[in-house]
Amino acid sequence: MSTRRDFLKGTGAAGLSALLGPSLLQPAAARAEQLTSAGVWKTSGSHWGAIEALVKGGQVAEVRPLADDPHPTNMVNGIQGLIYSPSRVRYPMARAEWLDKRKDADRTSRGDNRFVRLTWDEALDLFFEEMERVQVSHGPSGLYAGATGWRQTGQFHSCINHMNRAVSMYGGYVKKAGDYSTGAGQTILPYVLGSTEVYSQGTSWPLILDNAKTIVFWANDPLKNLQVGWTCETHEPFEYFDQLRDKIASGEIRSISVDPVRTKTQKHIGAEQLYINPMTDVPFMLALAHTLHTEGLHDQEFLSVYTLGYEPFIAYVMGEAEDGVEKTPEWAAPICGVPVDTIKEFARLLASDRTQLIFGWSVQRQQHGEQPYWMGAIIAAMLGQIGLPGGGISYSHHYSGIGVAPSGASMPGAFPLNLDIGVDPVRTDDNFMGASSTIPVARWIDCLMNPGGTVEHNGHTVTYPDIRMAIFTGCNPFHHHQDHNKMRVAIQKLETIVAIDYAWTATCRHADLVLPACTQFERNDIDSYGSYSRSGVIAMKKLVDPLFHSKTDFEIFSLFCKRFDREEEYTRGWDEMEWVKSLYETTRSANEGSYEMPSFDEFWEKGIVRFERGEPWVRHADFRDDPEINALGTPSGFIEISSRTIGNYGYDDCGEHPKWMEKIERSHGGPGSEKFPLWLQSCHPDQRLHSQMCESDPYRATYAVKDREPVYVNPEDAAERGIEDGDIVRVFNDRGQLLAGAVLSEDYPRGVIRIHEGAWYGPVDASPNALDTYGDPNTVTLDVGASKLSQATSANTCIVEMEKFKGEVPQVTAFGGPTSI
Amino acid sequence: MKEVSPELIRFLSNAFARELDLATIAACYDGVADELLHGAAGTDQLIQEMKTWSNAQETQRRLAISYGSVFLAGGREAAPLYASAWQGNGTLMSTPHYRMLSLLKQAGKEVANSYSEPADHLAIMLEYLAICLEGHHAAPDAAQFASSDISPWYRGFSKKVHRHSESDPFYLSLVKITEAVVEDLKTSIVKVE
Repeated sequence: MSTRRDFLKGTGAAGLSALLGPSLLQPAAARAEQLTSAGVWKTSGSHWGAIEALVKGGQVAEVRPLADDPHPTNMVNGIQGLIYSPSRVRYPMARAEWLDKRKDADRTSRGDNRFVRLTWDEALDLFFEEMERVQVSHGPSGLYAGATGWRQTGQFHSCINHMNRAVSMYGGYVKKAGDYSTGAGQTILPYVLGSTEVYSQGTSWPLILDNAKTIVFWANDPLKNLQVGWTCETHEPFEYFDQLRDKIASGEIRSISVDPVRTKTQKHIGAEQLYINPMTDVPFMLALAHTLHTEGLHDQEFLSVYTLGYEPFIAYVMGEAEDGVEKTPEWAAPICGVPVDTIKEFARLLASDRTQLIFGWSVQRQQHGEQPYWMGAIIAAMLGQIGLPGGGISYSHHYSGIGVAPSGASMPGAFPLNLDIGVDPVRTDDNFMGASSTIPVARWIDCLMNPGGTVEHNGHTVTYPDIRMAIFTGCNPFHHHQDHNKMRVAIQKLETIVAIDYAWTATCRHADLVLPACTQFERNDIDSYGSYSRSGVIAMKKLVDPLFHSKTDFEIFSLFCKRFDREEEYTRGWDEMEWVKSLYETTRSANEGSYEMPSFDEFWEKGIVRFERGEPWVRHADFRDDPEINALGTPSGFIEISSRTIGNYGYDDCGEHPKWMEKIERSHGGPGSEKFPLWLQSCHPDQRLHSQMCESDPYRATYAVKDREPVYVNPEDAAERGIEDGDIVRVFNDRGQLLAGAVLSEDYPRGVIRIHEGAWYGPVDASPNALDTYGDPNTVTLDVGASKLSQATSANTCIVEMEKFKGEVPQVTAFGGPTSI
Repeated sequence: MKEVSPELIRFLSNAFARELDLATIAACYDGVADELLHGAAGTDQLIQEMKTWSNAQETQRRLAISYGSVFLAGGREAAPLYASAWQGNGTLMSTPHYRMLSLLKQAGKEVANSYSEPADHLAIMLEYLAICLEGHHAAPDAAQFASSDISPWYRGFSKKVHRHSESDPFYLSLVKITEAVVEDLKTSIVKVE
């Protein structure tokens, strides 16, 4: 039994004053007067566009789009809810179990929400101690700091750069290759067309609208996705979709949407829909190639001058290859669900006049996702219109304003990602112990589960490092990675997870150390206005001071670097505004004589500098003009219909030319469809940027169904399952289960359901197969590499079943705050 | 109804303001709080609970985990200490925060620079309540404040704390005592009316 003396040992004497504590209040100062003032409007930028915010009494009282934006997105209405979300990380926190035992802590309890508050000093000391421990004990291969995502906007505060530079100041770490959006596309297209294409400027819309007779949107919904941009979005392309709508109405242009689903874009512009079974684009395209070839509709001259490797490919199409199967429309029709005559008519339509093919990214986010992209390039090559205005193929017109003629002006650079020349890290150890220093980003969970294992990737063998610690900043892998139940088991291999974010994402909840970053609206920054259009430079003025105990990424990592005496090298001795000014002045110098920019003070006061649009431009026109001088970046310099390089890799899932390969699982009669008959499409959301803004409670309330993420379903599929509009349903397969709110819509065909990615993960508890209470589709998606070439995500290869949820409906656990919406 | 002591309210404010430090824990263990708590509804349980503490450091750690998990961490299961979180659409620093700023201003006060929290944090609201009770404002103001500004959301908050698996008996008692105080003050308005 403890004595009073035992109990009080080390506590010091205490009395009534200790019980009452210090006052939380002080005499009112002048700042209280601000409450009654009219407030001030401040300009800022965001992924959702340029905004003006009324700041009153030290708070954001109203947000509206900048008048400069003629097509603002409704998502601007979610910004206040994001800033003041109850899901905000308000203090540095540590997982209680981890704080006690660190690397020896029980990791099975990750996600149980037992956290202790820390001071910033305590938290940053712990962060550094863990990084040092791992680097000393395991070298750079023990640390993974490569994962990245759609950070908040702002060139200076880009958290990706801050983390990379700060961690590099100490030593090396495992990095990632590729991304979750375009992994298969960005890997295959350099072999075929010489660049990633997915992040390349496309033909300007005015030239497309003036020259194309047919525009095909292939698995693409630009009006949905153009609402957001990588930097501050201008929404300029929207005017061209209105023009396209008018041209379709007048019969000048015919537009077809090749998609299982009726898209927002299709409905807005009045395009026709060509329905296709999910994941069967390749058989459909092979049959198109067959029709074009057999009917002599292909452009043999173009193929001869500009391409390489048509013969092996067409031999495969004509049944003269090893498989002996002729890829006729009759062969393809039962697989892709498109009637034979429709396939033939579509091929003839494409060849009849100028045709612009515009692909989205969803179709490459599947197993063998390289194949439909490669086939798209081949169809375009067979049509012979690559490099002509209104012809050829694009993989990017739904992204960040691509298609708006760029101004040509230089845009602000960013806070440096790497160390400055002459600066060495504290630890120069670059011994990865036989493992690879870079891993394919979508394979990091496999890496955790199989340290020392190997995997083929893009012509190389990757040896998985033995990762002990991961740092995530502005990055929520529990949003973008597949198969969360597998993830939850895999991350138990990590001794320490550090997450730096402004909101309690599922990644933060599964972390050991959580550091509160402020939002972009709580710091000063500068950004490009229009990622690809280069339409201007925008001042991102701090609207309010960092809320609660949050800090900017710059401050967090400056203090972190101070732990190992690299603060001066990290910051270059500059503060926030000195950096912002420096980035502006560098841009101004680069544009001097070509694009007028005012002094920094004038710019900051005005909030924006605008540049005129440039001359319309045609993708690949220079290559078409002279393929020798303007050779593509492919191994041969030509469009590679067959690739010897890829063929020489000897992969069984991505050969020397595109092929149809059945998927591990597929709806509409494919493998596994008897048990799980519904294809789950998890494309980019219409109401948020990936997972950003899902935590904005008032805005989420505008689309959530009984507090759950919507699942869109065909009325007949719903009726068969006794599901009515507004019901809470359970969506499940052998990988997991989630709850969602049913929205019945004829836009979705039989056998197809959609849940937008980015819905926050909220399992009922920390158990491995727990029911997700809000509706994150990645609870049930498949985690396999698209192929040995890209090892990219295969999220859209996913089949499920659904049922009306019976029993007591669990509370949504994904978000902070108690309010039910 | 026993008159509500401003010191009791200040104690509750301090206990909700942040994790308990060792000095406060020592004072609680040493019985300094007993007199403050004596006679107030639901306080016996708290006094008994504090008697069971066996080690100050261990107690501090356990209470810090409970405070962090229940009041600070994310997730719907958490019970944030802000009135805004429980009213309207749940957005933080909304109407209740503005109202508290206004009330504090009228009282010649503002949130201390050293306490980086919105004005509708329960601890601040309780300190304001104590100020009202201490006579800087009339007692009916305190009752009115408890009734109109704390009571409407407090029951939901209390329920959530009781449902949370990490709620330590110490905090459960604090929540109950605060609820009883608020209800007492509310009742006093009804009696006056």
